[in-house]
Amino acid sequence: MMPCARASPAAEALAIIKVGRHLGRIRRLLADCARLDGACLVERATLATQRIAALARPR
Amino acid sequence: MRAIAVEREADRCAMIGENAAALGVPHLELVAGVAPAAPGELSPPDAVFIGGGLTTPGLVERCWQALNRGGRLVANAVTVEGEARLFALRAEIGELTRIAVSRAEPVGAYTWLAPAHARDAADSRDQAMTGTVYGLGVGPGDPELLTLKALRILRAAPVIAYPAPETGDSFARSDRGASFARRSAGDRHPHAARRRPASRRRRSMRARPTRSSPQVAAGRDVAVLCEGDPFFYGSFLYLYERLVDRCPVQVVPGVVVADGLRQRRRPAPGAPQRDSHGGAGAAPR
Repeated sequence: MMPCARASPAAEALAIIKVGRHLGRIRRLLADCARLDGACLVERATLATQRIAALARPR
Repeated sequence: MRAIAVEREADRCAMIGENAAALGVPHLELVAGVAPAAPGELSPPDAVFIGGGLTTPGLVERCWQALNRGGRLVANAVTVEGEARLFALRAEIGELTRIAVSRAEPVGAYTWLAPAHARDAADSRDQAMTGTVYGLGVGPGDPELLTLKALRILRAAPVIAYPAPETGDSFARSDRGASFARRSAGDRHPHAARRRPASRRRRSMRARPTRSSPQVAAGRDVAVLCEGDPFFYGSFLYLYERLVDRCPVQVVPGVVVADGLRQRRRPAPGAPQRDSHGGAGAAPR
């Protein structure tokens, strides 16, 4: 996970896939490197039940 | 390439030597011994021909086990009892073929085809393992985000495999697999559909290759549903490594989730108003 955090400042956009049960840790990590505000969470991408929400918001 | 003959009779050994010289068999190694015992000391052959004595206890079994992977056993089955020994191996044999030769001979003023002794050729199961495993990228979720190639293979494949967690349903199968399988392979091969009763959906990646392997061994194609792209951080990588030396494996790429999102991306509340992929993607709707 730390390489992602380091890559984050250099990349225009960053997709973190296969999140699953690591969601809480990822949210904390992004908060720690001040990336949480721009982050959005996509669930069930491309399906009819797709949900997009700000990652910072409590679910 | 070399040939080894095992013969216990001295006069037949001499005959074999003469025939080899006359017919030009290079590197023929002649072992004067009794067949069931002798071949054990030889390196694994690609093909074994048993000219007779099929009913000798342990002979067929020993020769069959000595065969190299993908090897072939050819035997002269003169008697019903001899042929029965070959049929006894049926469960292990990939293909059993009987070849009969008939020669034209005169019958009075006419001609008839006189049958010679039949030869039974048993191909080892490894050689018969001709089913192909397809790693099908089935896209990020939307059943329409599937390539035409993946769809074609999915519809034709008699067996569909998919990863599933220890508990709960398989996401790979949930929409794309299930909907396409119902319309396609499942209809044509109901046994494939019956392989997935609700009670058996709880199968792990670990269990799956061994469950699918007999299908491939039986010469049937297996389509493995892979979320997104099989090789884009996909667990098919592990399956590929295990199978690639054992059977043909083909990988069909799929739409990965980030690409699938381009059309759907809406700016999240509070998120910057720019395309998340930094370029050619569609504008946020």
